[in-house]
Amino acid sequence: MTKHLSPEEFVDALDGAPPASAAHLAECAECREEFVSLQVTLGEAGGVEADEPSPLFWDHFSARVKQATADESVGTSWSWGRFAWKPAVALMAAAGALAIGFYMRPAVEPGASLAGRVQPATELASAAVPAFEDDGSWSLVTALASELDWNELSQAAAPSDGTADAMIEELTSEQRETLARLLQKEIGDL
Amino acid sequence: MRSAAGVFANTTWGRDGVRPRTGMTPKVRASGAEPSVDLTTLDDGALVRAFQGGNRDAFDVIVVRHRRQVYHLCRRFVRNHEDASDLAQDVFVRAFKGLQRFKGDASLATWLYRIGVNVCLNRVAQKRPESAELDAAADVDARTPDALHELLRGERAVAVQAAIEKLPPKQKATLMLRVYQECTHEEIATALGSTVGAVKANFFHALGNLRRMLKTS
Repeated sequence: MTKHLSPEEFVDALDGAPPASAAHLAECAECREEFVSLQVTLGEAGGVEADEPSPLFWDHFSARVKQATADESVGTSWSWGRFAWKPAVALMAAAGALAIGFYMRPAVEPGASLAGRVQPATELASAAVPAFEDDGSWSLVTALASELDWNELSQAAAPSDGTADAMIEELTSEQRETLARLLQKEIGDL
Repeated sequence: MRSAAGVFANTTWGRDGVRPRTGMTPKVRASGAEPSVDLTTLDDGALVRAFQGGNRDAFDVIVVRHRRQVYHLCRRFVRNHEDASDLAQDVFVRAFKGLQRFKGDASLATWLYRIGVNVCLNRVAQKRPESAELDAAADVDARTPDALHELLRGERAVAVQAAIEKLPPKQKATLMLRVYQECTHEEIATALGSTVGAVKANFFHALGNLRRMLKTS
């Protein structure tokens, strides 16, 4: 018998010899001696008992760990799924606004020239702004508006993140159904 | 032929871990949307998911469940309670910081052992282990045969422990995880970032080196 057990086979044998190793150990005195020697050493190593701390230690230890991690934030696993609906809703709202705008646009006869459609500015002004008597409120609004900087005004009026979400939240179920129908129609038309 | 498992049976502690006692059982939400559940009834995977979902209490349960094994692993490396306690705390603090990234490829216990081995080997590399506690059995009454036997047994245990400390780091870690933490070769390979073949070879050489040192001591 020239081929002795490999280190892996010895370890497997210590765990409970597989048949091949057991057969070899039965025949090979050298390997058997090595195996028994390893087994004794393993027994000695395993016989070294661990000192058990006081039972009171464990709760104290948990408290220490808790204190040591108190300033650490837990955080959460970020996932696309949690926020992916927001841009989708914003996109739908934008599409809805476009659809509403499209349906409410003034009817134009095909072939009508641009010049024919544009009213002179003076006519437009007189038609759009009917004569009225200012009771003071209009003067107040114009006075306040004149003090506003254009940038501030545009910032105040510009839709912020989540505006579309908020708008959707405020819609009644009937309005949402209408919006969904319009969106569906628009998407279908694309 | 006695199996390795039979050898492990004489250790005073095992894999079962310590469960929280009645009265200190945290009953809180496992995650934000779920109804109130007893976290101690969850398995490690569910606790990890709860923690990753933002539930801090889940980590307390993880600590309670694994503190004993982690502490004893550290204790085997440094051999004094205070250092082992500090190292075990360090292991859990690191685990707390890294648990968000835990994918569950290995068991939580194996992942904690991996952190533990790294923490302990780093410490051992920085600070040479203190000399063996040769006075560990000094208080034993040597007047009776039983006491004499205990004294000799204690001395032998000290010699074995001193020999284990002298093993190369990988062999030492392998021996400790196999013999004292009762890890499988696969778990050790995961914990040490190694292969099963390398783990078995390290274990074999660890036993061989231990045998040689004990013969000369």
